[in-house]
Amino acid sequence: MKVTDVMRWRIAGLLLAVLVIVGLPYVVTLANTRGTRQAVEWVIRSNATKALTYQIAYLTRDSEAASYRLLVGDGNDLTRQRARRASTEVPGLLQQLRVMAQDNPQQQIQISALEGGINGHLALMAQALSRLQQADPAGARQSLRDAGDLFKINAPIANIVQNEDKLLLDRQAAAQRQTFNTSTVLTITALAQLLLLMIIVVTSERQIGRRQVAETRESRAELRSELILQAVREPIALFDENLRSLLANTAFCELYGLDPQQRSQPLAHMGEGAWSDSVLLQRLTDVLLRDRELWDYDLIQRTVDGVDRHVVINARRLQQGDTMMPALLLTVSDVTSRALVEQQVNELNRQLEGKVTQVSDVNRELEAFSYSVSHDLRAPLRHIAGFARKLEQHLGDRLDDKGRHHIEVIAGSAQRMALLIDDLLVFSRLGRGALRLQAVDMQSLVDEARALAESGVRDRRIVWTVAPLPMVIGDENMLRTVWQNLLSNAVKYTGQCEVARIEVSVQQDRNGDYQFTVADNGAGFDMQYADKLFGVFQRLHRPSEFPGNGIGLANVRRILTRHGGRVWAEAELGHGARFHFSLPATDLAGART
Amino acid sequence: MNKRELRTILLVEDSMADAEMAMDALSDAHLANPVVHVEDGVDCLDYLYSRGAWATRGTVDPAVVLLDIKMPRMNGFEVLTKMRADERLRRIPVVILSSSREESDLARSWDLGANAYVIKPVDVDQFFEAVRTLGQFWAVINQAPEQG
Repeated sequence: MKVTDVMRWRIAGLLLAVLVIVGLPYVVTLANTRGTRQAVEWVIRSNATKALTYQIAYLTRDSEAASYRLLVGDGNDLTRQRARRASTEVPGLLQQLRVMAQDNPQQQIQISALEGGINGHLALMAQALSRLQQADPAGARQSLRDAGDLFKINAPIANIVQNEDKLLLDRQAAAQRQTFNTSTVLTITALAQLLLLMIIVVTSERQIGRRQVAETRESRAELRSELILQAVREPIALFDENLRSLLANTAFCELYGLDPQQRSQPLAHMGEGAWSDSVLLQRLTDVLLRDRELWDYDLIQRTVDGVDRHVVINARRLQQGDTMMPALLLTVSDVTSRALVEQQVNELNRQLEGKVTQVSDVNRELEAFSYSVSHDLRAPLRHIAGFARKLEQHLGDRLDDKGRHHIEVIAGSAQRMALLIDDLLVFSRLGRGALRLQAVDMQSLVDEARALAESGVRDRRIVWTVAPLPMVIGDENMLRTVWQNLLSNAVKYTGQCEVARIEVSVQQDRNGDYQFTVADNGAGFDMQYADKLFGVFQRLHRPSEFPGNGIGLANVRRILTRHGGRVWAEAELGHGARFHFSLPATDLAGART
Repeated sequence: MNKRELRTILLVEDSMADAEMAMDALSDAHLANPVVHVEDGVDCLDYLYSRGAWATRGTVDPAVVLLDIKMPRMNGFEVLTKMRADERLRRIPVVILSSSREESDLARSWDLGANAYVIKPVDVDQFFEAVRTLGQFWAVINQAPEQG
């Protein structure tokens, strides 16, 4: 909007300038010419007036002179004619003079004075001639003398000439003034023209310079986009409405074996049949004719290197700038490797799904197994124990000590097997159930486990050293089991110490992982068997030394594994053991339950 | 009051050995209440509704039902579900008596409205003690609402 306004004003200003430059000098020159012509006219007229006046004076004097010659008798017909000529010609000349000076009242007055003098002169001269004819020379002489004395004509003639000269001088001065004005105006006009021309020249120079800069910039941009197009690794090409190449970048030429210099090759013949797909060609024609964009058309192409490539074709219609003919911009994305990777990922996913199914199958079977164990396996044990008792009661006094011992062993074994089953079920459940993650206060878990461990023993001196322990993220019940096992073990295996020392500490490593340690000064173990420590029902001590069935540390390891941590131990036989376990760093703030 | 028929203790147990041990334990408790043993869930419901083999037994509800979970035909959970859904049977005390100490079994029993869950101990003394206590508590100590 603003730009068009400016343009309109600029055009109006330019028109005005042209008008001033061309129009003003014309008008001024025109006026000047007219003035000059008038001045010339005035000079001619003044000269004519003066000539006429002198002619009147001459004719009158000549007739007067002729009359005097006639008077002295020295005359012929020619002289007579001369004497009469003034009276016939002068009145007409006087009339002429009056007309010529009709615009000048001052001259009219002088002309009237002249006319009076001339007429008087002429009348007395006529009287003198007639008196001469009547042979009265004295009367005639008197008349002529009277004419000279009474009607003087020199003064009015001089006045008229003088007036005319003065008028001429005045007019010349006026004409000079006008000429001066005119030349001043012309000078100013010329200066203005010069200025305008300079402005126009400077402006157009600047415009041209600006356009040149723009053109340079444009050509540079064109060069740059050409370079970019050539450098792009994706094949890109431009085709005309007959699907003949206009432009193809290096990647396109390389992929389809084209000569980069050669233009106007039909697409269908490129790359040894890579573009012979009729559906694709139809779609590309649609893009050109109906302006339908082609999005991600999948195609397997055999390119000139003999490789089957999985490509994705995109195409859209463009207008060619100069001709407005439609052109087709075609890009080719080689997704062969991506497709391969996708295929591999799919395959891996499929395998993984299979594994997951297997795992959940196994889990289901385990669950069914546990259910069956808890319901069915325990009942017969109960029956063994129960009926052993009934047998004992039934036999009563008939039962000797040996028989009673056998029955006791039977009942005790059933009891022990029931405990083993219970432990196995707990172990199995730790592996199956979902982790219920929450913020867990390790300090209170340790306090709790310590109280429980101490409640089972009497008359023992145990020195506890428990460091301040952090909050962690985990399954509270499971972590409680960990502490209960580790602390009750520590209490159990220091049973033969006079003063048991049990120390609980924690360290945090650079990653934020926690490492907890339970150290005791108890029986320890031989590191040679350390790998058996965490196995199910594995024991490093005889039941007669330390009771237990070897499930506790297996549970501990299973729990920590499920938490992403691990457990290990170091010990020396007779010099205590150190159990360490780690828990990975977790975002406490983000895991509140 | 004494004229009224004594309520029974209904033992639902498919294992004859378990049943025999439980009956022994209950007789040890010297209860006045008769103990009736049925062998599965279907039988149990027949008894409660006085139908089938139990059509002639009268209509007095048992003082307590000692219910095993894993049984042929109809298991303990199904029996419990049906009892709690029935206006007439919903107030009869049910004690689950099971070998399982699985958390899922406990939770399900309580959710279905069991009045107690007792794990049958393998230890004979403990087993006798448990069943005897159960019988005494539910048959003698516990007060059930009048039958409607």
